[in-house]
Amino acid sequence: MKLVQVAGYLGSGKTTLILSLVKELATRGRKVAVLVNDVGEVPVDGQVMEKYGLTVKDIGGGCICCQVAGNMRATLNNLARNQKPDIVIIEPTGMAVPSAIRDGATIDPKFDSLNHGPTIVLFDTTRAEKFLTYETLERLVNTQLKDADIVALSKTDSASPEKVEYARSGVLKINPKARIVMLATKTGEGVPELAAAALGEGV
Amino acid sequence: MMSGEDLFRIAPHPAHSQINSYGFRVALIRPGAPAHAQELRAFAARILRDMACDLEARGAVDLAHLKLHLDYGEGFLFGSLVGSARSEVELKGKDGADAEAFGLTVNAVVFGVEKAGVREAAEGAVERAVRAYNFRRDDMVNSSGER
Ligand SMILES: Nc1nc2c(ncn2[C@@H]2O[C@H](COP(=O)(O)OP(=O)(O)OP(=O)(O)O)[C@@H](O)[C@H]2O)c(=O)[nH]1
Ligand SMILES: [Mg+2]
Repeated sequence: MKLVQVAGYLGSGKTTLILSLVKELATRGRKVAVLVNDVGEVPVDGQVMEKYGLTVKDIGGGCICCQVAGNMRATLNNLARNQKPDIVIIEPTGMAVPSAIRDGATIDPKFDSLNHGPTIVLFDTTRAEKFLTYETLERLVNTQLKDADIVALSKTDSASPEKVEYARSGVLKINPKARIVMLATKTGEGVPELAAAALGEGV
Repeated sequence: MMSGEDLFRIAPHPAHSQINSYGFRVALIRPGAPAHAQELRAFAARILRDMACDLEARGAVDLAHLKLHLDYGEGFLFGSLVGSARSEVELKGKDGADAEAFGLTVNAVVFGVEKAGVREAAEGAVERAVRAYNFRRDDMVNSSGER
């Protein structure tokens, strides 16, 4: 079972991307399961994904990086034993630290082996300035970006080219090794590239 | 064995203390005057816009994500507002038949406003919209089961 994480700060476009990514992966013949974790008392993302036809496991009870790692592992074991998807996409909360999730994700070898795919971190270009400059917010976004294999600069359809460039250079200063993908899920830009990356193709 | 770095990663991030959320579900009705999908979209947009303005007035640094879900029979609507009160309200879903009753889920996550403020803004926006559209509350439950 392959694990692909779609992380990134709150509201950066993770759920919207996952809906498109799952469609793209399904047309390439892959069976995909999605684990989602929402901030707050009443999860909404699981409902969004289900209404749009996905099978979703909602791992409620807090941010997966620091509170419910056990719950995530139990869910992964369950998937490996029952649905046996080719790929599991995890959407952690926008507050999560991606490496903590990657490290905490394990499955019992008697069910399957876990193959770590890329950690994709979304960076919302429309809020680039806030994320690159505002005190503690900048520190959290920094921590997330440092853990990325791929940084998807999201919502490029709504940001000026100057803003996108500002975001790109800011992100590369924080994580010079990251592969940068321009993403506008609304128009489809970047989605096939991320699907290929999730499959380990064309990197 | 865990290194200091691992312990830091597992512990909540320092920025977490500035991010607060509040969410609730409510059942709404308007007996004898079913609402059309278009009216429900306007209702949803008004809640998000009103909540965003209130949260900014309370000093929000970032409207990290204000979301709502409205469901009625075959119809559903997801609404979302991110960033600031000047951002667009995004609505998507599927229109259903006119409805006398529907469920509303609201979840607000905000950087820079304390939890009580997020709660007041979220509940206040819903209350004002409910009044403006002549809906009535059936029941209200949050995660603690409080009414
Ligand atoms: N302009 C534009 N807006 C987008 C794009 N992708 C997502 N959005 C909008 O951004 C908002 C947040 O999108 P989500 O996909 O819910 O973001 P998220 O990262 O899953 O949010 P959380 O789970 O709350 O952290 C919604 O209003 C989307 O419509 C995009 O490609 N372009
Ligand atoms: Mg989401």
